[in-house]
Amino acid sequence: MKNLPYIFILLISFAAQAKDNELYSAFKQYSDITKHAETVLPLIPFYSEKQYQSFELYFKHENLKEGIDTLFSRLQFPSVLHNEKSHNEIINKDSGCLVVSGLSQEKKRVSVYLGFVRSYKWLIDYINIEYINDSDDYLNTPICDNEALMKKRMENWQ
Amino acid sequence: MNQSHPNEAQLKIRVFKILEIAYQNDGELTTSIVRSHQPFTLTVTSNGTATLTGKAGKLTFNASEETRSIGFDFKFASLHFLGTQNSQLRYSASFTIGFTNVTFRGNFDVEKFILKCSGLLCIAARLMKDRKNKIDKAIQQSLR
Repeated sequence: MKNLPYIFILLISFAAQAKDNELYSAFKQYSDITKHAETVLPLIPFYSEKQYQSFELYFKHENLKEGIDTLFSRLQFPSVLHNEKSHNEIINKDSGCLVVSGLSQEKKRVSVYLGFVRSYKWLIDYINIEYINDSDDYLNTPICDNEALMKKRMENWQ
Repeated sequence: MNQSHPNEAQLKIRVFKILEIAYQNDGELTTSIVRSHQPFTLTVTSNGTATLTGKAGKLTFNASEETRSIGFDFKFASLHFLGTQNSQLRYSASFTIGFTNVTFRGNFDVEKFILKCSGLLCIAARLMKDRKNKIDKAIQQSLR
């Protein structure tokens, strides 16, 4: 009984951590399904409907309206992160922004910013792949707005 | 159809080539904008209409050949250039392709760029058989 407060604090901290990582978890789930994309790619004309349905579980519907046959290769964006190093996320009621940083296959520093909207689950609404300049650092705070990100980067350059 | 996302190096070449088209359209105005030491912008829409805007004026031109090279689902490009300093032109770029964006920063030597027809590109064009690919490679090597 003496340890009960400590156990309680430990449980709360686990719960907070899980909540903090909910966008990242959504990203990882999606990332996992794209890992086998290369073997599926030649079969797209035959599997398009099935693939479309599975992508609908991860993306806001409007983003898929061009059709899975044209979008499929673009949806493999997680493969840009060859070596993942860190992630950070912000949630504001029904929207959120996640940044996942690491190295590309060419060993170039890269960050992927993902905007999410809350529906029956978190759905991806925005994707930005940033190749990071040698004089810049990874951003600790995610920014899911192109112009705001460019402005911030240019400020560092002045 | 199943092309993957263009990477930073490929897009930097497109930036260079689009500026080259601006020079071909109006060399005097483009030079004034680029060398004004003032910030300027370049936007390109999905149909290839490019607009270069700076303190010295505004130039609209067609860059559809370059936008087709970026990809069938190219939507928009927005580039912010800082004024030229010590001959270096620095910029921040954002390309919207499908519903994803690719952003990066870059810089290149303006003097070399303006004088390119007596330099790198023209020499490459004269000497090389596979003009397009090899010029792209030559540009890539000159960019950072």
